[in-house]
Amino acid sequence: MVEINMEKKGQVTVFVIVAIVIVAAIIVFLLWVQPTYFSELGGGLNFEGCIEDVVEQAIDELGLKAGFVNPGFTYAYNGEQFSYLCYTNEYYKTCTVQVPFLKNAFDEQMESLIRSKIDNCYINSVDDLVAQGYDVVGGVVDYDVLIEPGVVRVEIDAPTSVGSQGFSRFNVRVSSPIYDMIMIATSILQFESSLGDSDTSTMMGFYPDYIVSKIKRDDGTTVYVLEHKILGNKFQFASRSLAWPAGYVG
Amino acid sequence: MKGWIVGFVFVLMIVVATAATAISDASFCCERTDDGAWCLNADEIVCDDSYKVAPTSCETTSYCRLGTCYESEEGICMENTPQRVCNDFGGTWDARDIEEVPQCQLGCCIIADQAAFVPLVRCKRLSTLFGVSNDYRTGITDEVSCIATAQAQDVGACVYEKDFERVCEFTTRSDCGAGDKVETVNGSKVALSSDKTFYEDYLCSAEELNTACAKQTSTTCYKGDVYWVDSCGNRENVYSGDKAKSWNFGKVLDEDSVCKANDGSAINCGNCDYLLGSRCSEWDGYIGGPSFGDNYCRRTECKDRNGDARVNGESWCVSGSGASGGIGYSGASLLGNGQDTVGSRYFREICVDGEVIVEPCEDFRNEICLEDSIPTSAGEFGVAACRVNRWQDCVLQTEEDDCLNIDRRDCIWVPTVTGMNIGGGTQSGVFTNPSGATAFNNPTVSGGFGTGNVVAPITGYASSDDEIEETVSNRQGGICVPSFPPGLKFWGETAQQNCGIANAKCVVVKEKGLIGGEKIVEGKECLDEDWALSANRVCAALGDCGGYVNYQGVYTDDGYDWKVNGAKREFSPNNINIIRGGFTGRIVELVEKVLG
Repeated sequence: MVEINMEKKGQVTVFVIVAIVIVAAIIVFLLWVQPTYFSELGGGLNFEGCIEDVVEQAIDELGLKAGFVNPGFTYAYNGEQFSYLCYTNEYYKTCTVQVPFLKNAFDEQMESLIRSKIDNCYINSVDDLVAQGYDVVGGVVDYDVLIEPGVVRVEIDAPTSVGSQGFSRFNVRVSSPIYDMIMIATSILQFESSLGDSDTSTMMGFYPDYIVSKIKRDDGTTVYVLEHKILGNKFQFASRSLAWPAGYVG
Repeated sequence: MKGWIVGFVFVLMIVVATAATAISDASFCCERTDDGAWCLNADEIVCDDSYKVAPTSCETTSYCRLGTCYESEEGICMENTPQRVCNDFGGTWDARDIEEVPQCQLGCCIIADQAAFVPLVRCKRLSTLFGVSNDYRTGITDEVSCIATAQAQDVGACVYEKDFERVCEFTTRSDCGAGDKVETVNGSKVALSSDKTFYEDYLCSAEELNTACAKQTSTTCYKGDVYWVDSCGNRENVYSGDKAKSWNFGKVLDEDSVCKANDGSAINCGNCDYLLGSRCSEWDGYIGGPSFGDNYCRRTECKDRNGDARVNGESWCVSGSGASGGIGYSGASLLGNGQDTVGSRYFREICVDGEVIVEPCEDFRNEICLEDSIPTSAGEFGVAACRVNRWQDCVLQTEEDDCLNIDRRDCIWVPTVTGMNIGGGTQSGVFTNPSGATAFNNPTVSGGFGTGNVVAPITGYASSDDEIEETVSNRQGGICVPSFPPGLKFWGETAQQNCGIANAKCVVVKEKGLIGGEKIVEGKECLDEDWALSANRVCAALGDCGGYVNYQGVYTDDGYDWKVNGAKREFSPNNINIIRGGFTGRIVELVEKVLG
């Protein structure tokens, strides 16, 4: 009987030790190894915040130039260059569309504008992790910009392994009225190319959150500035359509 | 016999028929120019060598032929687009007009209780973006009907069961997807079902529907009005401080039945009215706000230049300086009727959220501003728009009926002036300057370059020749002139040609008496200063010509030559005041000549 009791006590002890080891292992894993999740990796190291800043800056910058990083064909007014989106150098004629799909152009230009900056965000993020003692293996960053009503989304594919954990997808959302502004500008262009003019009152009636300013210049160029009343975002461009000469001689 | 030749020379020349339509001598079609423009008719030197160039008009080339470009992702169609540009931006090009391209056919896209008159692909895109089912109606062929259809949709409570909870969405019948069957509520309870059921005209907070939505927990802005919102986030009826009346026992109630449309003066009525100048806005004050919620009908108004109140969205016309944006000249009545001042321009002003936005019409008065008003319960709601000034063929009209045909042109018919010839004696529309361009001398050119501020108007040419020995006029019944005189680039040569279109020369014939003395037998009226005044009126009405005031109200007399027998004359102070008041004078050359 005594021997049997001893065996039972030994088994209990072994079980207790095993249990302690298991619990300790779990605690060590949780506290020391720290499984890093997708959202924590991005948010905790300001990866998403960094990209948000980059995207916001890009939207502001591109909006002032009608979506072009380096607009080539522009009209100078008040010290600024306004991209011609529709243009004719003749009188009495409606304009030839220079940029038919603003959203596509904006997408494309934005992706090229923020490429190096997103790479920097990513590299800095990885460096921060390494500095904190993580074993990080980074990959090639690829991303896609999606412009939708009220938001600009950036879907980033960045294969990354931190320790034994692997991550790849990052989604960043930036609130922005740029989609609506692009669509308002598109609508104005449709009017300019077909009728030679546009009605800003109607635009402002449909989109009460925006101010649509139209400035007609003496050479027939019309400068448009769209501005969000609350957020202050701007989208500006120029058009020359159905211009009239001064006086009787063209 | 001795006589005088009294010659008034106003020479204005138009080259309407030969007016070049291009800014430059464009004889080549550049697929792309050096500065990045697509498909321009221009000089070869500006064409980008790496793109196509042809010595012809772009309209005749294949690479710059314009067509319709459509994009399948967003569903957008653009016309007047070159094929290369379309393809480069990811579109599909079609040589047909936009009306003939199937992908660009417009239809009515119903998005919940909103509507858009767009192509089918665009409708699908919008439906996806806003998370509603696609409802595209090709049978509706105009935008007004489309909007009316959306507004006329049945609205009500869309009830269904989800996760053992009775869920409700306030929406349209089609968006609910419950079919056409009209559900009625009998008694105080309705049966539970996992299928969607549409209860027309019911709010989600209606007790009979037995949902978890509590009534009137907050307010929101919707279509410019303030609405109650239930605890589930569903829109209810228009906001009113009288909650019971607004709730209406859980049934939909017309906004005007909740409370009368107001101009922002009723803080607890959410029935805002755009034409009364009120629109839903968030309350950002501390006291005096609405009894419930954070939204109210905000009244925004502006003050126009006369100090009159203008409500939000109202627009009106002004005329004045493009440089300063103000009405430099106090003579606001000097609009139209051939009396627009030199350098003036039409503007439209709009009241937007308490701020006046200035929108210039086309420069050189190629556009004019028209305004009208819509009667409302609070007075007139002004609306204005810039519209093309149709002055171009006024001087070609020789019949009064043609001249005053407002469907075709903006002209006025003024009394003829003795000896006045329009277009150098021709009526064909092709005019030449009989005196040559070098005879012009615009003393106001220096110092005025590039400023846009016309110091003095350009006048007609005063001829010093004495070749014409009789008074001849080609506008004996009257003269047709622009109602809104076009502006001219006084610093350019074209202005001289423009002002040379009118020519007035009067011969005064005197007869010597047998016992001495002289008797005027012909052209006596030309000796009167009123004759010069009338000629000047015609001149100024043709454009920025003649002796007249500029937009700052400054009168200048260096824009005309009035000569009598070679001696220069000027208007008397009294007539200058008449001109300042909007009545213009004439330009005269008087040449003395002995006839016998």
